[in-house]
Formats: sequence, structure tokens, C-alpha cells
Amino acid sequence: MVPGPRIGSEFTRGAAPLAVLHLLDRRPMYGYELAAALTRESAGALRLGHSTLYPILYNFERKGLIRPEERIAENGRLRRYYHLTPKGQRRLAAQRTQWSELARGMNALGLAGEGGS
Amino acid sequence: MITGGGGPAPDLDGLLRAAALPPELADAVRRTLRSAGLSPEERLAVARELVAHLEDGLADGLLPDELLATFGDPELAGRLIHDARSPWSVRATRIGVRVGGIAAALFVVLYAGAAARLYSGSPERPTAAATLHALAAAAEQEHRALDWVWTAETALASGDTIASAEAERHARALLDSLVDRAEPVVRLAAVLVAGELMALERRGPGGPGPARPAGPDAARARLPEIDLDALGTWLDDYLARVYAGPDAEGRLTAAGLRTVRALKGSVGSAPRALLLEPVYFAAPALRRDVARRAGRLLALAAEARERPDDPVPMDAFETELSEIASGPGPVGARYYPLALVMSRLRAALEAERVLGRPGP
Repeated sequence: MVPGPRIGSEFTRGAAPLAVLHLLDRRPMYGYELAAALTRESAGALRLGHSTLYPILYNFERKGLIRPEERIAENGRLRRYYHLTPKGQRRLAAQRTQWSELARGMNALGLAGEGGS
Repeated sequence: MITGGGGPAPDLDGLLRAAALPPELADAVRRTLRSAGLSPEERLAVARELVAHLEDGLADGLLPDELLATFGDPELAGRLIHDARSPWSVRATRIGVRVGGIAAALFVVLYAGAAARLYSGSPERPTAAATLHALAAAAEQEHRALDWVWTAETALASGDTIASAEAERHARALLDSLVDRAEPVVRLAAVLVAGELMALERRGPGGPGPARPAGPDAARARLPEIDLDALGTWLDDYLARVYAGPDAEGRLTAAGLRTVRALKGSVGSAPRALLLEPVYFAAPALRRDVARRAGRLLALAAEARERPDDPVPMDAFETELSEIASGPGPVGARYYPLALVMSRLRAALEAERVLGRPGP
């Protein structure tokens, strides 16, 4: 796992769902792969445990934002790949916009950006 | 939703044995699933995914302690998984259990009372009233008041005169305890109780009969400070929060939301707006039926408003109730929301008569 600063749970709850959709927009992933990618690509800021990741995935699945596809890997292990659905893509686009506006606002306040203080 | 993988499905113990996870990780999976409270099939499917995740971590060289640290609290994980899979049930179950418990208890009490009357030849059974009183007293104050409308309705419908008298006595005491409190939900409850008290007063403690001349004034006198406009604003905010919340999509279909909004648009008073709540709580398969019947009841209400000097068209309400009771399926549980719609609408009509018209 990649070490790094962990974000507080309040922030994680808000950011993790968008990050999950964002990564699944690139390609389908299974749970462990997704968790590892989130940790790696967020420089350790978004390390999601089971208690965060799987509820997000099941919630998205129930809402039709992602679609599971089960495959058995060569080692016989279950791989449950999650695909982003068109509805999920629309949700992602909407949340990206909101997130950008939030980041712009935080930046305007001097709270975001490189080395923001 | 999750389904099991291919091939014969092992049980959870078999799955964990086959995975040969370290005991502490196997225990975390067990605790998560125990807390999630899923069906056996769903539990096994989730277990497969969690186990595969842990196996992948071990294969990547992570130590059990490291995996355990990233696993998180198993009980919390289980509860969140449960909520993620059935978020509607979280609130509905809580309310359903409370309402269902009261409904079941009332049904048993009233059925037993009717049977006792039948076999004893006595026209009245004080045990029904006592039990009603005990049930209401055990509930939280505002819940008690909000449910009282239905409770009193049941007492009236039972024809049990002692139960009706007890309901009226209790409604008065309840109303007296509510009118000095400022919380909107309590004020709303007070309006509903006042409406139901009117219905009880009109029938009188001895059963159906002429209205009591002092009834409307008495109920009005108990509610001197309630601002219905402010209450309506609060209700609007409340409904907006409910329907625009982050989980609204999972709780209510788009068609259901449109129905609710259309119904709300035809609702003219704050107490009346409450009748939409059961539509929200109704099971998906029932929404159309509930909305259709609620629409008919709204039409009856509109008719009643046009003829303010006529009595509330109880015969039409009774007809609706008979149709509901003779409908398919377990009546009590499936049609409870609709029964609530009816009782609240009737209470709202009474409240409107009390609060919306000048006194003599």
C-alpha cells in the first residue's frame, strides 16, 4: 500500500464516491483493484477500507450507476468487475462539475491549490 | 444486485475454510456479514467478494494485521452494506416496526374485545380502552400524538363506546400537553389531535349522535397560538428535505415523485399535506393504488369543502375502507399507508372545519 496522508472520514465520504466513478470511467475494475488504484493514484489520500468501498459499490449498483460482471480469475478467485453504466457516466459528469465549482470556490478562498494554507 | 457465482454454492463456513484466511481475517468477514443481516444468498455473494479482496491482499504480500487495519470496523461495514443494499428499508423498517406493532396490538385488542362482547353478551369491554390507553402512553409524546389520529379512528370504528370515551379523554389530555410546545412537529401533532378530538366530540362518548355545540369552540380554544401558515412553511421545508435528499432516488421513483408533487399541489392546508407522507412510505407496488385512492379521497375532500355546512361524507370514506379491506393480500400491513391516508384526511377535514372557519 502507498503511505501518505489520510483524509478525514468526513471528506472521504464526500470524495470517495466521485473518485470511484472516475476510476471506473477509465475501465472496469474489481474491488481490490479499485481500492489499490484509489490509494495509489490519490497518493495515499484515499485509502478505502471495506466499510467504505463496498457500501459505495453496492449503493451504486442498486442505483444502476455501475453494473457488475463476475469472472473467475486464473487462480480460481472470484473477480467481480464493475462497469460504469450510461447513468453512472451522467452522474459522474454532474458530480465533476460540482466538484470543480467547489474546488474553484475553495481556491478563491485561498484554501486549495499547491501548498495552500 | 449481487448474485452468487457459478457452480454449487458452498456455505459461509465452507467458503472461509476453502480460502484458508488467517483466523482474524475470517472473523472480520463473519462479523461483517452478521452485522449486515442479509439473506443467505446475498450473504454468501458478499462473502465471496470480501474473501477475494483479502486473498488478493495476502497475495500482494500484505500482512494480516495490515489488511485488518484497512478493513475497518466490521460491524460498521456490515451496517453500511446493509443500508447500501436496502436504504429505503432503514427508515421504513423503523417506522413499520413501530406502526406495525401498534397496529397488530390494536387488532388483537379490538378483535378480542369483539369476541368477548359476542360471547359475554356485554355491550362494552373496558379492557380495550385500558389497553389503548396503555399503548398510547408508552409511545413518545409526538409519536403518540401523530399516531393518535389513527388510534382514535380505530376506537371509533370498533363501535366500542368505552374505547371511544377513553380516546376522547386521552385526546384532551394529549392536546393539553402539546399546545405549549413550540416545535413544529408537535404543533402539527396538536392540530391533528384537535381534528380527531372534534370527530370524537361529534359522535359523543355514547356512540354516534348529534354533534356537541361546544365542541368546535372547545377545540379552537385549545389552539390559540398555532400559526398554520408557519406550519405549512415548515411542512414544505420538511417535504423538500425528504424528497430532495441524497437518497431520494433510491426511495422514490421519478413517477412516484411526480405523483407526490401533483398531490401536494392539490393540498390546501398544512394538516392535509401530511396525507402525502404515507404515499412516500408505501411499498413501490402499492404507490399507484395508493395514489389513485388518495386522489379519490382528495376529490371527496374537495366536495366536502364546497359544502361546508354538510357533514363530512363518512359514508364514502367507509365505502373506500370496505373496498380496501376486501382487497387482495394481507390487509393490515399492505394497506396500512392507505388507511393512514384516510384517517389523516378525515382528521384534516375536521381540523379545517375547526380552524379554518370563524366561530358562531
